[in-house]
Amino acid sequence: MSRTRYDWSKLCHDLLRSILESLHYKDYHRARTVCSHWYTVSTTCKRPLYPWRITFNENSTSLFDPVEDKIHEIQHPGIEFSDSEIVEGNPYRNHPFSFRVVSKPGEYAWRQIVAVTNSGEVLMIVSLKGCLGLQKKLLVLLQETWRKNLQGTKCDDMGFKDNKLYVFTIDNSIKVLDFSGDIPREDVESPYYDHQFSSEMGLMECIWKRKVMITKSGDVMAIQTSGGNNKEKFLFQVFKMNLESRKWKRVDSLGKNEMVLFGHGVTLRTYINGGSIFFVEDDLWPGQRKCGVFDLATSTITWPKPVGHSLAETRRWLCDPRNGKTYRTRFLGDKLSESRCIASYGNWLLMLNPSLDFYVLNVFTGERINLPSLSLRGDIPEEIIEENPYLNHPFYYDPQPWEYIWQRRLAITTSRDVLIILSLKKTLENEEKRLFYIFKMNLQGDEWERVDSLGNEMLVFGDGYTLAVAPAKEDVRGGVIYFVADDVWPPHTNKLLESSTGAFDLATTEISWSLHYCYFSNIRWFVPGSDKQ
Amino acid sequence: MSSNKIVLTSSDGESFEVEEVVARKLQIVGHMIEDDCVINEIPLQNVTGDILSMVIEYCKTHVDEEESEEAQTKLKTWDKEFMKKFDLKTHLKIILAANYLNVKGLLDLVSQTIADNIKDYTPEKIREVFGVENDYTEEEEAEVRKENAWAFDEADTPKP
Repeated sequence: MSRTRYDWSKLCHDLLRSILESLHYKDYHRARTVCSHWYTVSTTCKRPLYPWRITFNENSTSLFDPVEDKIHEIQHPGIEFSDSEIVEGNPYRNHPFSFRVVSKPGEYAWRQIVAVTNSGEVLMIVSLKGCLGLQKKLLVLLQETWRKNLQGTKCDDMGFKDNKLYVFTIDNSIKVLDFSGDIPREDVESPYYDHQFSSEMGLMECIWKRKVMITKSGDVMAIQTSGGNNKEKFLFQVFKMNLESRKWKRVDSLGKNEMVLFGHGVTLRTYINGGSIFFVEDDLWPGQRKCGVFDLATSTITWPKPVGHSLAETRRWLCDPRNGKTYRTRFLGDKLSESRCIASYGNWLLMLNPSLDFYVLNVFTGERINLPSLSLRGDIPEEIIEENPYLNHPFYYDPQPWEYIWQRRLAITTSRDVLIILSLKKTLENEEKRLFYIFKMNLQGDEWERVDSLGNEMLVFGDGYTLAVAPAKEDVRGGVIYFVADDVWPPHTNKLLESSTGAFDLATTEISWSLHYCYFSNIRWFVPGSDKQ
Repeated sequence: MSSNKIVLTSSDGESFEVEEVVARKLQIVGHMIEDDCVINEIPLQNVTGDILSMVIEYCKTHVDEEESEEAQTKLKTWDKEFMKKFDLKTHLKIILAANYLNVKGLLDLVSQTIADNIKDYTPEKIREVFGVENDYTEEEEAEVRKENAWAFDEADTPKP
């Protein structure tokens, strides 16, 4: 037997790299901490880029790595994440409405948001690679340019690459704003100027969502979901303009080795998912609830298996519109399951919590950068403890075996009582019924009891307050809960195009459906490591 | 297909007579043949006989790489079983040999095997198993760990 110790730390660079590259994400990160040589080698590794899915659950976050085919659970009691807030060196902390900054050639935006402040100002928020925030000066300029160049046309989507902002307007024009100078200006020499996007549509065809994206080589592509009334036929279509004829033509590939997260505005380099479009929930058709991958070349969809409980409970902030006071429930602020992920860049997620505070979160390191609040009145609201009659009486409801709770919301009545409203499905004798239950603290103030009336008040599910109905009006009645499709259990069949919003009558327990759709999702794709490429 | 035989000789003098197609799987040999050196016997200085025989066994099995899914699955199963026969030290010797002889498939296979073996290991355990010395200061190590704290505090992390 040889007694030689094999000194693996001196193993030649290429071989060690080959081994490290064969490791899955977490093991790779453990291995690189072994010694400085291993660490140095690891920095030369080409890590594969592919989207993971993240789901925020009540007390944990599920990360699904599709290649390793494994779900990683990260426990987050909430406190840890808020403890790791980066205060020192957070340049955005003391700049209200601050969001983004200087762009250098080669940088590109990963998310853009159009936001309206309480005072009615329209802000365009652009966030670029590596950092978030905006200088107020730039913002103002941006606003002026926005108004001047777009002349009231509405922005449908945006992409940012190499100092240029590509705005896809509602009327299908592509405006190009050049940011290389002090003042952003519209690029009138852009080939897209005055050449609106158009696509031929079949008789039964309808377009659901339309986005713009910029490829690595700087080509502008329009991407849309199109379908008939049948969800099976929904698919993604990608268009590119022929720069000579100035005509938009449908194409069946992205750039070489490029993929796109639908709605992210730019394509990403990938080693294994070339030509794929990653989408979430209702990107493809309204009311759809799963993540999927669309292969552009074959027009086929892959449905990966679901991660965690995507039906994670979402509690909300509530605001009393009459006195402007904002209430938060005890744990409301920092729980990830209550925040909404609105964008991702590599390992960083841009989150919006129920109080409309933005923060950026690195799910792997737990680092968190709080961004200034977009709304509210400056001061951080204080929790009311002594005068809060609900403090020591947590709400609890034990559902019957045939009752399936979907969501719960809070509402304040005009007489300042707190109501808790459950949206649920009741299954009896093969019949499914969608219902709302209302609970109120009893007169003794020690227990929550169910009530079956709202008096002459009505409420919008999720708005947080009830409104009194003037008895004179016949078309607006009390005792009605207004809601949108996601507020109730989704039906088995896809009827959501018709059944988008509804009104629940407490007296008859019947729902009447109307048209108008509104939606948000809390499950996301993100690409670990792509911020380091 | 050529039925030429080529003799490969290891550093400790062991000789193996193999078909030319098998020998060509060793790219180092393939290049010699392409460079028009008409050789029948090739001395391989950096490989011992026991390891060379393993490399040849791999190359013989992989000489006809069929496209069919069935054949691929079969090969993969064979690869796995083949790797299971050896311990970590042998894996190291094979990876060095595969690198020297330039056998791409085998190199990937051993890399993956080693990677699979250190899966779920803590850095401490990896150091112990591979005899690597930790040259970080405490601060440096903490800094590196912080880069991906998540990898270290997951519930399923085995204790060192």
